Amino acid sequence: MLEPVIRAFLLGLSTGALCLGYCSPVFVPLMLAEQREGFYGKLIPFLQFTLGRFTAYMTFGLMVGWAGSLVVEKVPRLFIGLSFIGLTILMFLYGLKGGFPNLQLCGVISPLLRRIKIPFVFGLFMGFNLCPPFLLAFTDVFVSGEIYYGLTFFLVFFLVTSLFLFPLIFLGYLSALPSLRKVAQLAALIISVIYLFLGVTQLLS
Amino acid sequence: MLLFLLLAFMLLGGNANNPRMLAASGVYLIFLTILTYLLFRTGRIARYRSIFFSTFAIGFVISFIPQMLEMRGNIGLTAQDMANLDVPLCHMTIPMLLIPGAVYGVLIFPTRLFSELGFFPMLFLWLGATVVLGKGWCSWGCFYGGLDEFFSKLSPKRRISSKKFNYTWRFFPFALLLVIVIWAFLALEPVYCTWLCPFKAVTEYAKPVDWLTWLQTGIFITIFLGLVVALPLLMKRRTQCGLFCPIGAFQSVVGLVNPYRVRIDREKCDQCGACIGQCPTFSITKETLAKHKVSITCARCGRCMEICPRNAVQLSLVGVPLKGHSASTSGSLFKEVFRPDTFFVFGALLFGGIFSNGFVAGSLLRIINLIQTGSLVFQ
Repeated sequence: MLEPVIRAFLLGLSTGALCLGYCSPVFVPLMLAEQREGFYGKLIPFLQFTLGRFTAYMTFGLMVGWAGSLVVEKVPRLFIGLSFIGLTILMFLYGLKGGFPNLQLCGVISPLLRRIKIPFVFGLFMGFNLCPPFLLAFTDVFVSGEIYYGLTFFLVFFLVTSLFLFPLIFLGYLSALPSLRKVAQLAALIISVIYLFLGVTQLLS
Repeated sequence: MLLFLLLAFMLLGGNANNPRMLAASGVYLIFLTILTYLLFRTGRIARYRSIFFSTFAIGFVISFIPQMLEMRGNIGLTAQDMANLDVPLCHMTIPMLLIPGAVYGVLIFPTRLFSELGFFPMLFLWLGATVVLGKGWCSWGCFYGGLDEFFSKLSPKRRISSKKFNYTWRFFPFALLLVIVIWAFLALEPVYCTWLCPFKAVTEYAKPVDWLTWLQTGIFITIFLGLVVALPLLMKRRTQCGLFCPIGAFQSVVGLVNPYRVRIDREKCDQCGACIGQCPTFSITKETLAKHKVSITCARCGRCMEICPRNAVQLSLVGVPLKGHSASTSGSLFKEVFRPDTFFVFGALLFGGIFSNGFVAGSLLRIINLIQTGSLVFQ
């Protein structure tokens, strides 16, 4: 009963710094690119982002625990590739809209960007990326082959790794500087190009 | 005179055992002395700095490639060269090395720590330059920056007007800096050098052996041709330095330790905007000019000081009130000598002269060798 909790806790603790590194290309521009009032204003996108990650982790935990080898063989590359492409599109539009506010995006995209919870979707896509810590978690759950084990493991893993992301909330205070907001928006554009490359190579390989 | 003596001591003294290098350094010393004389005589800092800076960069390229051919027999880096830690380090890598070095204690660049072109010599050189020049490194000390300066001066006419230019792009180097620092930390490799450095096209790069290395080589050449050659020719601006170089962005921030700043005199400036269209690094915009300020990306090239019709732009010390002087006005000898711009230019020329000598004097010898033997490589 306690085995997945302990294993996930230790894994999250030992690889959390890497999680921070892998999420920072998305999370840093997200926190810097928009000025948000007060601590709670900055906490909300963090919570939305982590909720996105949570959803992805739980989906993975369920799928791996339920479908086992089928998921391991078929899904990862497709998931990674598609999540990178999804991130590419979203980050590109996010950077473009913020960095060049005078640019008229088409009538569908602008309202869509306003409506969707961007941090949640970013978190969802990041959750589906198989970064090294996530791969370790994935392997552990796959070996067990149980739904309960998978869900518990990913829940604890998610909670522990989220602790490492928490300090990035304070980056939000730097968004008071307009020039840093521009930098973050342009960084989102550059990162979208990198994710495009990664996504295409994943899908083609 | 003092500059001449100091340069003579440093340039000639270091080559006393090599008569050919001594002679070439002597020629370079005369060249530098003439430039310095003309610079102080006319007050046209930007013009004569530009000649020095372009000569430095071209001399670097002419020297570096044959030197690598002599060392390794090939300009393309092989896996073996990297395993041997035979890759010379340049200042472009420094921001990427800091976090992996601090977190993991590793050097993520295939170079030696203490060799002549290794990590510590370059780090100390860069730190010294940052103290002496600050962001002025990008106009007086960087051995790459002179290339887009050179191409920006070649075209007689501006083909792309700066009126249509979106100044948001001047934040791009900072964004790229943020990305490459994070990316280098994740990948534990100097990703800017592997993927984006335009100057790989004229120095060295990983030998293309598969589609990935061919892609990287293609990116180097494309960025070089676009940002270092074509856009400077069309815009008459330093587009690589002003709109792309992440190390320039890094230098903008760390260079704040240097006390010299280009400042705009509120009383003299009539907001004519002449400096906006002329600043090679896009460091003056309508918004900054309205506040009588220059962006931290200002590379102290002296162009705005040279073209301002009211002499409102001055190089001065931070925290010291602006005085009614400029580079082109004359006063007593004492006042002329003890001016911030004189001190800065003196230090910059001294540093740049010493630093560039090995490359420029070396390139002179290689050009002579080319004429005599048909090759830039010494046998």
